Amino acid sequence: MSRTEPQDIETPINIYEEQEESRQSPLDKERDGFLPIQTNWFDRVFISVIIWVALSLFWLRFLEPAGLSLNFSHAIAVLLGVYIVWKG
Amino acid sequence: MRRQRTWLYLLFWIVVSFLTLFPIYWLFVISVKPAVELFSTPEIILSSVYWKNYVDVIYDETLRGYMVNSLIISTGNAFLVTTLGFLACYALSRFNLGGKESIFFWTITNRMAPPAVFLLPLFLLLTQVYRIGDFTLLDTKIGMILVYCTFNLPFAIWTLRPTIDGIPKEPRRGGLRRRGERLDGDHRDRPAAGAAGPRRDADPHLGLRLERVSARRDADQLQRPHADDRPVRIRHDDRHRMGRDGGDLDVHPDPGADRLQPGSAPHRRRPDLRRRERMMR
Amino acid sequence: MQSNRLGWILLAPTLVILFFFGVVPFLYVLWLSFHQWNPFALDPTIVYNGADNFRALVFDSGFLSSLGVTIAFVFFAVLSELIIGYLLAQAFLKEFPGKAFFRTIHTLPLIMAPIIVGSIWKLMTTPSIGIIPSLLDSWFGFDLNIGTSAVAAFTVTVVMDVWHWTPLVTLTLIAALVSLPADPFEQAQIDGANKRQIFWHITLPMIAPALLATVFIRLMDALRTVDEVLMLTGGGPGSATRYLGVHIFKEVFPKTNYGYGSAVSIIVLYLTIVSCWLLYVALIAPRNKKA
Repeated sequence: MSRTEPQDIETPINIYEEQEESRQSPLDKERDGFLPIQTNWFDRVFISVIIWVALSLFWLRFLEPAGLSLNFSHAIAVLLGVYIVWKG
Repeated sequence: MRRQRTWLYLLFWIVVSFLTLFPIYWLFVISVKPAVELFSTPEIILSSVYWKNYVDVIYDETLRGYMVNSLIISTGNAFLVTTLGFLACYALSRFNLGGKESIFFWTITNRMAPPAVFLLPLFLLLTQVYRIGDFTLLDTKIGMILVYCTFNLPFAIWTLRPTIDGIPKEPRRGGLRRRGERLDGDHRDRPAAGAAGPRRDADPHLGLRLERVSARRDADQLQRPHADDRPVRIRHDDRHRMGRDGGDLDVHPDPGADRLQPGSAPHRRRPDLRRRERMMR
Repeated sequence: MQSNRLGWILLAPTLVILFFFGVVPFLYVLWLSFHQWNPFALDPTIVYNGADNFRALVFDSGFLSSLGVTIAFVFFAVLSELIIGYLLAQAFLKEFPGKAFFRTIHTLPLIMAPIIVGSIWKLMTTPSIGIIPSLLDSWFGFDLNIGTSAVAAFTVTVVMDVWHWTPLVTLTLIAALVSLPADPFEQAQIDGANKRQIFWHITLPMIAPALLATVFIRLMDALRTVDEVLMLTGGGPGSATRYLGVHIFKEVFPKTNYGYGSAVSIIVLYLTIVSCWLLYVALIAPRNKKA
């Protein structure tokens, strides 16, 4: 059935708000993390993976020749990832 | 003044078109030159035309085979991509699928892959993994079409989706509508229940005939309130139990919405529609 | 919930195709990037070698220089395409005779295959055959030689990319600009906003989604350009136009070093995803910043 109400036609719809709402999964309702943007759990896992790769590459180039094993970088990345997913 | 501007635009576009067309023109110029003349000083204006190159191409059996291959693969791919892309966009735009924005972003990541290295895994997969009995996708046109889909489907989805999002989900003012169908807020004098007169059930066309409603009449009907105006009964009115925004109406944000009295302001009945206030905040 | 099932059914074929031809090969390449594999070497078996491919990668000067030129190429190409595309789209909004005709002409480059575009530009710019070097020489006395000058080769690849892909930007932006409602513009004019304010505060935010989609497509295509550049300059002179795609192509096929090639493409993929994602966040996120 079509339903169009007069006040509906005149009220602007905030598309961005709707988009952002549709991105939220029921798993996480209103969150308040430290990241500057609104994220769902997938976004935070994604950010963690990106940071992990970047850190590993950086480590390979600059810190591993200095004698620090790559495993340190993995450990740091995992800790950081857990923190981001949990609190972000 | 206005006339002069039109001429300016025309001039501008002629220059731009010239820039656009020049490389194509140059391709043609080279194509009608014999191989010996290629290395003489280049001339913009074509002085003599040498058609033999074209004749050679047309009479070349192998090339003709290649052309047919290209034709089949590209039309097949275009057809498949358009169909699937449209279906996918429709689903993404009209249904409330969980995590659909993530899926939307994921589709485009498929296009980001550098093709050079993916040739090898695709080759191995097509020859060894994706096989049913003796049938493999290797060296078949359908295999090529499917591989191209990987790169072209995301593109189709990303360019089609804004368009489909832009098509209104329901008839608004004016346009075609099932005969006898009313938009809510349609306050034409309607016969009271049980009264004699044409009823919708009695419609000989079973409500399937479309009538054109002029925007003017429509707006007029929408504006006049009527004594019959009841509060919006969300649960029972909506056949698909889906609201305008695709949300499930069983979880209406205001459980008391049903109980409001007739005559109360519309935005009190559907607090979820009070977007303007939320935006101001 | 029935209607949602229909939605999934409509989406299913796309997801299946993308899974089998997009995700599975990706996982395979990812797996391969941690292995040493050269099928035509003395030892053609696949050997796990940990992060050795990546270790070699970050010290490979060829890779690093190609990364640099790729970023420069993408920056110049995409930026000029956006600016020119926007101006042309604005010009198409005006009324003038023969608009449809000019629009058709303007779209012609889009329908050409990249390899053909590459060969056209090669025919136009190769010093002895091409028309452009000969004209530049006779008109301005400027010697354009893409075989020897790194700057010239780089510029020609950028110009070629702009010629090929600006129509795409124009078309998308025309569609976006045409569908804009008139009210906000009228209101802004009544409020006395000037052209620049209208552009920054109304036009740009309203066409942002379309702009974003276009930039995404252009960015990722520019990052993986191969055939055009390979055809035009072959990555030369030296490594001036050896973009990442070309680098992979030259590294993998002649040397059949698949493990290393996989590692390079994983990095390219990573860069593409990160830059697109950053762009997405930068353009969309400021609107829903948490209070």
